[in-house]
Amino acid sequence: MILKLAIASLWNRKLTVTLTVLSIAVGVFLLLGVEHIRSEAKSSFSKTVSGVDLIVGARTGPLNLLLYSVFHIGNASNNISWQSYREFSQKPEVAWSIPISLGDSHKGYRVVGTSRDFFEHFHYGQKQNLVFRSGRAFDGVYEAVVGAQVAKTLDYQPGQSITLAHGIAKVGFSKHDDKPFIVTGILAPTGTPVDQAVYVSLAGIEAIHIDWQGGVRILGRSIGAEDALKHDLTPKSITAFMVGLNSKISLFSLQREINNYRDEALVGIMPGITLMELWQMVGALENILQLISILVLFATLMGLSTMLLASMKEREREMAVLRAIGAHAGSLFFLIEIEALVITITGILVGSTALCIALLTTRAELSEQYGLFIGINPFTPLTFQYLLGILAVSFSLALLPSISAYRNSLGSGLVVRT
Amino acid sequence: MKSRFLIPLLSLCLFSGPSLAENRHHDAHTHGAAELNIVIENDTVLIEFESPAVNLIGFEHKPRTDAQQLELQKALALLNDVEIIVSFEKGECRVTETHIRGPFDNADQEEPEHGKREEHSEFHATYSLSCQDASVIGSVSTRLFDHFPGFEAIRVRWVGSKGQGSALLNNQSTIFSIE
Repeated sequence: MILKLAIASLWNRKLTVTLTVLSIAVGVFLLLGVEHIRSEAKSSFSKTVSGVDLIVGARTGPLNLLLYSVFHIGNASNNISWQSYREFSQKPEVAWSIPISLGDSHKGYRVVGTSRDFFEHFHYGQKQNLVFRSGRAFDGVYEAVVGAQVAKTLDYQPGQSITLAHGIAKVGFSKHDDKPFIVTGILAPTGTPVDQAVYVSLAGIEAIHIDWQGGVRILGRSIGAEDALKHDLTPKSITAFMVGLNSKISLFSLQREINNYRDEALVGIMPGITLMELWQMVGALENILQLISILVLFATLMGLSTMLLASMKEREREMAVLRAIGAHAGSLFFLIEIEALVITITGILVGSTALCIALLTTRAELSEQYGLFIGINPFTPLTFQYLLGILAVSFSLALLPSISAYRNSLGSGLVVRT
Repeated sequence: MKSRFLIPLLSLCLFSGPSLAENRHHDAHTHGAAELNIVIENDTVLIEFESPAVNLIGFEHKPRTDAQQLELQKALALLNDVEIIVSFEKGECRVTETHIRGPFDNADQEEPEHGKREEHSEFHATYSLSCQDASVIGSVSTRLFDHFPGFEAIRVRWVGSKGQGSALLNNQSTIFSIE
């Protein structure tokens, strides 16, 4: 009965109520959005690499190396020599190693030069293996494996012929069109940057650059695809390599050896630790974002209370009439509280729906641009706690207008003013 | 769009980038800071501790007075007890090997050339532990801050069966957990 009355009464003041609902929706959107993206980004980053003990690259900041080698964000400052790679990968404590060579692209997707060890030893999530959805790993020089997202977006099947572009610009002017690659396999989706990349052998990377110098093809000295195979296709340098050890006991000493290596400026990072240090660094920023979104939401709930309080003046008569026809003062208290909660709940519904829609429409962009894989379901036990908190705050802020309704309804409303 | 995300991230990298210096290699040496590495594999735990000497004894030159000599002996004696460095909440472990290198006791260190001074000296300690069940080690605490007021921050890095992690300890927070 009171609920019906409350809804009818709100309907009567559609415009102000709609605006209040919208402002609450914005607050809810912000709070849940910040919380969701923060936790999803963390889990997305953390599940990208698993079981890799060390990542080794040219000496740079650990974060920088992690971002370009695993997440394909940013670029390497320097390459490392093949010789150093050989030296470290053959150490007795090293169980396996995966070389990585970056710098080329295919229609905006990164091309990663690597070895077949990548498909065998690279793990993501909870130590999950890479799986082929169709086809097989590359074998020959001009063979390529594409990630799930690449295959889906460009509609590739095994057997497709593709051309790699020099550099990472979306519209590459310098193409390696004289040496096309054949897609031999498509990886199953992983929800990591692996989905967004094209994998070829290191020899393939070497072959397409064999007649290049200083970033352009040398005119009049082009070497055909077949002829290139006759050359030595051992790379001179690679961008980075990942290492798995036989025993973790040797991890810190190997890392020290790499970091103190005198022949080349190398750095070895432990991906899990680097990520954790990243979270420690951005932790303060996260807290500020969260604080801001909580404050915004609080301000909108204050607005709700203000709106109800302001409406009390114009509703004096309505309240008095309700009392006159027999409504208890307590009913009026609950009427206002219910109005406040109806507005808040509607705001929460609108806000979370908008958030779901926003996540749905931007997730492709997020995964392509930033390698961030965000789920579209923002609801976790924590968000329900937040929502309950919002309702509690809205209830207590609505006490003010409710008590005013309880107290003043009869006295002030029925007095005939002249 | 991309740069909005990258710039804050990349600027973070600037704080942590070691510079390029082959053959003129110098290790970082920050007074007040120390490094603690822990590796857990099966039932073996390896602990490595490295700190500038000044944090433990207050000076980095060879002891010149008896008081300084005493400080040095005291520090070495304390380091001999792995419980000072780390103690585990759970899990029974016993030390199988302790190796402590004080700042002035490696004889093989070449004498500084004339005119050049060795400016820094460090303590290095490694401990091997054998545990009944290393998987139950939950939280780990250190008593280094109680015994040596010279420490400001200790960077802990650990590697276990489930992954890697790190923690930054100071005299307010001396406990971290290994999951």
